Amino acid sequence: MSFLTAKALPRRTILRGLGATIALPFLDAMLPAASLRARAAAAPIHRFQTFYVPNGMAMEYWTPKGEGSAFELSPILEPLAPFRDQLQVLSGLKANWNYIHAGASGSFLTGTTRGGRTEVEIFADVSMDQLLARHFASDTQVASLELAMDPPNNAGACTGNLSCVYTHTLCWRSPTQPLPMEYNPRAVFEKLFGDTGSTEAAAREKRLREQKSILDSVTEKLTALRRQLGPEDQAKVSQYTESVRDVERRIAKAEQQAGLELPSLDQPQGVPPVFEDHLALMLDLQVLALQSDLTRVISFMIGKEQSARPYPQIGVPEAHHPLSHHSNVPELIERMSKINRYHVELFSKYVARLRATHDGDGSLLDHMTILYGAGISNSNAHSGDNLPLAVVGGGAGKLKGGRHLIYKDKPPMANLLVTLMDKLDVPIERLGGSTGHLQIDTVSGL
Amino acid sequence: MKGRPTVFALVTCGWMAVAWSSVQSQTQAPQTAPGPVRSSSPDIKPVLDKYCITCHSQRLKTAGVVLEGVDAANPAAGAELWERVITRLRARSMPPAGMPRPDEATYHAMATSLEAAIDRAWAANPNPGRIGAVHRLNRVEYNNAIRDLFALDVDVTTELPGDETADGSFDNFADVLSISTAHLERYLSVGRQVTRLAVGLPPAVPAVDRFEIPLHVVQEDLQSEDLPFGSRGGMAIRYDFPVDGEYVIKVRLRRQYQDYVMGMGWPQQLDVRLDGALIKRFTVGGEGKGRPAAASYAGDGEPGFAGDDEWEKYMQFGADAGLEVRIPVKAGPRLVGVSFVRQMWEPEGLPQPLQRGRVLTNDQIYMGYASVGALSIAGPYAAAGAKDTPSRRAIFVCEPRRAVDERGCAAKILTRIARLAYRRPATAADEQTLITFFATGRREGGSFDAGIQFALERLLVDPDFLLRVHRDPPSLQAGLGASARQAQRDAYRLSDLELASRLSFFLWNSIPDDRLLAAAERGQLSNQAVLEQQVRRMLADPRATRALVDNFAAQWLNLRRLREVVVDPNLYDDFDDSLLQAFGEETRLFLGSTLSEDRSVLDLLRANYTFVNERLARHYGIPGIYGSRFRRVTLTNLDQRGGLLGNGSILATTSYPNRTSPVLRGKWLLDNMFGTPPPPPPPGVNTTLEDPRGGALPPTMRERLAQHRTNAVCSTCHSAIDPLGFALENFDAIGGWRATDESGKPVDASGGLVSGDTVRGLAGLRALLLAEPEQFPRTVTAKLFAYALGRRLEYYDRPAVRQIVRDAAANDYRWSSLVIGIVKSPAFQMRASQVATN
Repeated sequence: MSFLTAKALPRRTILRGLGATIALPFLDAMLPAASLRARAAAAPIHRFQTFYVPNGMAMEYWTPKGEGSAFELSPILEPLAPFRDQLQVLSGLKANWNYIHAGASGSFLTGTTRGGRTEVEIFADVSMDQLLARHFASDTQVASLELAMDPPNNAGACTGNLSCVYTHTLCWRSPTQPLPMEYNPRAVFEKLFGDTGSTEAAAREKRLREQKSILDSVTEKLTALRRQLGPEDQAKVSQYTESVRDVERRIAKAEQQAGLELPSLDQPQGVPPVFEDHLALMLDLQVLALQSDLTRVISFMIGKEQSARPYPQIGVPEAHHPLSHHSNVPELIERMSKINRYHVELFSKYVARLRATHDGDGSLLDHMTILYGAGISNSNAHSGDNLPLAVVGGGAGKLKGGRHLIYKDKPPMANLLVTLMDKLDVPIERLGGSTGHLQIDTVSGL
Repeated sequence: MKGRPTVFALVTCGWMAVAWSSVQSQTQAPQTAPGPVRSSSPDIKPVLDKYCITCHSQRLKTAGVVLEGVDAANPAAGAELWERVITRLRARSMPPAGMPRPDEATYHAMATSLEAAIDRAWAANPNPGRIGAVHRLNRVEYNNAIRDLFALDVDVTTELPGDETADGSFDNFADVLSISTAHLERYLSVGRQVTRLAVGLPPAVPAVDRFEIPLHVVQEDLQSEDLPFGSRGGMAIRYDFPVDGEYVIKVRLRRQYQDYVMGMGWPQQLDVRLDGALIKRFTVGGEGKGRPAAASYAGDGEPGFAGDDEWEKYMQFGADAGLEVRIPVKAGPRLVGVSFVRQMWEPEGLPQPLQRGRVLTNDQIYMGYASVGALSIAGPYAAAGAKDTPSRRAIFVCEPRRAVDERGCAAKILTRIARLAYRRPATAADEQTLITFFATGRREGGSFDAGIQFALERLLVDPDFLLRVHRDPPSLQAGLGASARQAQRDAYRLSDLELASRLSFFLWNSIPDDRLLAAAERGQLSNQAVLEQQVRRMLADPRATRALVDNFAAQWLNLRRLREVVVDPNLYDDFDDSLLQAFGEETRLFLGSTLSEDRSVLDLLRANYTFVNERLARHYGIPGIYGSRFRRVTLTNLDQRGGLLGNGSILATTSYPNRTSPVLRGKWLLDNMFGTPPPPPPPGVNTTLEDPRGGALPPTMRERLAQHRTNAVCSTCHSAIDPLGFALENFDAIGGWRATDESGKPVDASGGLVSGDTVRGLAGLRALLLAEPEQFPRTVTAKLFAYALGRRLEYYDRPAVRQIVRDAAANDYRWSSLVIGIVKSPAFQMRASQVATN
């Protein structure tokens, strides 16, 4: 699939109804498609996803034996065998902020070394996905998606004496602005496809037409209104006009994609009560969003920290969080590892779909950089050392798979984030408490 | 100077008597002049020289204020500076503690004399200020407008972006309300949803709406007036069913920390009702088979701490798996109620601390009460249209019988709604636009109703609906000859239509109704008698009480923080969300009673009654109150309760989770009661108190705040803030009365004021606020004025506030007299011109 169509958007389409006095920004959509394609070949399209698992990991069952390219997949990682050539497992990285459960999700994408001090102090750092989102925002209809499987139910202090906010989200727009993660597939659908109720092209096109006609009509009125006000008072009306233009630009983008044939999906009614059904819907929506280039940055939590979800379907009816406090009893660790492996199984099915979905000159998976892992290693001790992390995907040619990398000098995880930003062609100097880059291309074994 | 102040005070009293006796409030510009001319300049300058110039000299310029060499003979000319002086004089906050201070009488005399001079000049030429030209409707106003246009009682505030508030102000200030892309996108989406619901078009796909009960709401009693007697817990929802069809109502029970459904050790009965009629009665609980899990989470990880598989499955999923009904429902607003049948447990009689924390613990899994966690309403399935709903009746004032009638009928419907929505007569251009959209919608949607819906969708995004625009009159803009310009140089009168909008958004947070609009169209609002009549009519409407309580008072008193209150469960193990809800309800009912009974605003402080239910009465120590219904009670001990200052809501929102805060309370009192807000702390100050060390009893709050007294930089402000907070120390962090505090010593609820007096306890605080009868009404008026105008008050508004309060004295400062005073004041009815502002 290519989001580039041969049809460039005529400038006139947007100007209809607008006074000629307002200058328009030059939109990418106005470039003839050929030049865009040329640009695309030079700079590959990257897609970044985080797939987060809560409550630590049974490390005895996670860590692969061996190092470099001659490594043996562990019981938990075994379901990813078909994707070994696009899999890197990283051992030895340390959490930037190790504080019970808040530090786990709070620093996973932010690299922050501290959060607030009290329940009412909400403080971390900008997260990596948001830095990417800002960069991609001009290219995609939705800058980023933040998704989870649990509603943000709790309020007050959740972990230690810190706010529940740290466990509800991985993503921070600014040091003081955590982003909510959407768990209702209905809302996700509406964000991506509008409120027509289905992905059906005709319905979406109709809705976009309706919105455009409304906005055109409104713009005429705004122009007239502006003329009635003195120069000092026109600022507010200008704000209004700016937003109209912004929405029109998004509509134009959406119209380009509206003609795509997408798998038919009705808008989900709400949150399915069964975990598998709920997860399937959320993953369907993620594949759709990536496939249609509606977004290139997704952050997904399969469970939030302290998740008490039981997994009777795999024979583990105990709540996850209490089970994760296994007091190092071997039987209980083994039991918990079943949950960890189950998560990887579900993830590998998702990866398989990404591999099977066409994307330009390869598959979606070829162009993706997926960060899979947890912010805690030994769950019983809430340990932040030697985090269970894996990078999956082709990274548009920037990632070398098929290796187990061991970092003996315990670098902070933020270094991995900085390195990934590099790989995604959005280099940054520093993220949170990072101390430099991580060598992930040439480590022992290659 | 010794004998002078007394004489001076007498003279001043004379002025005040003259002013009060000649009150007439019929016209815009106040006719009452504040007394005969008597030069006061010889009296002010010596006071300044003696007490103020030491610091506020031309050389030192302390705090940027220079009082040396100012022209004290003509305060009106330097009103901006003198208003600041007046504020300090009234608050007695200057000179600072430690410096020589004038006596009480001098303070009073100086302030009054300055006010009189400034007010006189203002009366001759009032500056009405200039509100921003473009004023967007905020969320609440948008929601209420929808309600009034379409008779649709939906809550769309959660679908719209939050409104910005500048610090300490209201969310209806014109300059602060921005219009962003997010707003526009939401307006487009909400407009579509709302119009489809109002017209009765079926939604594209069925939806599930979920309603949750907060985790810590106790469900041991009758939960709501909308549920029947003999029920326990649950919830009642007023839900707008969009179209005739089948709907699924599903109940999810409350779970505790480990996701076990609570109370499943014994059978209980759960009822589902629609509009009061019983639809189905379920039996839940008592069916767990096999060995249960350990009774409490000890975390020792022993294999087998979970129960048998069958038991676990029942407790986590099975118990409430089948709690759903699928029923046909007719479109429109209906009451959906879910509750248990009341079967009470006899209390054991053994004192057990209630286990609460951020989650409900494992102990509460079995033999306690089951509770409702959430209610979902899904649908419509097998949807038909909507024939008869309140909103269809409101919209469809005609029905076309034949195709040729459609256009005419559409025009009638749409122009009628446009007039109300745009708050002015509909024009030909309006009709043209809306009919065009009607035609498109008719064609694409295939029905008359679909055409109306699309036109209404367009209407709700129109700038004339979303914005209140204040346009300078054309003559001002064009630029006139000198004489005409002279007449309009300073300010111009708002049009009747603009005034009608201003009035309805002030009193109702909504669009004008037909009667008000008609009066404005006929130009009758320039008649002050008619205007007053409309105001009284609007105040008597229950919408006014709701708007002024839920929007004005809730922001003025910072009550919206109530839902954020968190309490340390180790210290207050009796606290739950039911108490929090009761706090909110008490204050709401109390404020509402003063408004609907048109009481004096002073009753907010001195009232001898309040509203309680059983839970709140237990907390306050009021005996003999049973049941969850709120009722008015007369308070017998006004030293312990009475008035806003004894409301749990205010006491809880001015505390921390584990302790009281005299500083937060003192600041709240200065901001919202005394009207003399303290400046913010200097930058870089660490405001966290050290936590008391374990073991020994902690020190008293007074001891912990000792630095505020010993450090000169702190005491400048804290000498005014802290004493007021100390006076409330008998109330703990959740507003309960206590005789000893956490230090184990008896509470010392006295505060040493800067003036040298002492304020003691709730009664003392109340007396202090009422000592100067005009002080509290001025605070209320200033807040209400800013809210009514939609902008911050400036120094040139202060004379208006004083005038309004002076005029209201004859009516004992009733709410209506303040409101009418505000409406009649120049700032409400006029607007300064661009020229004057420049």
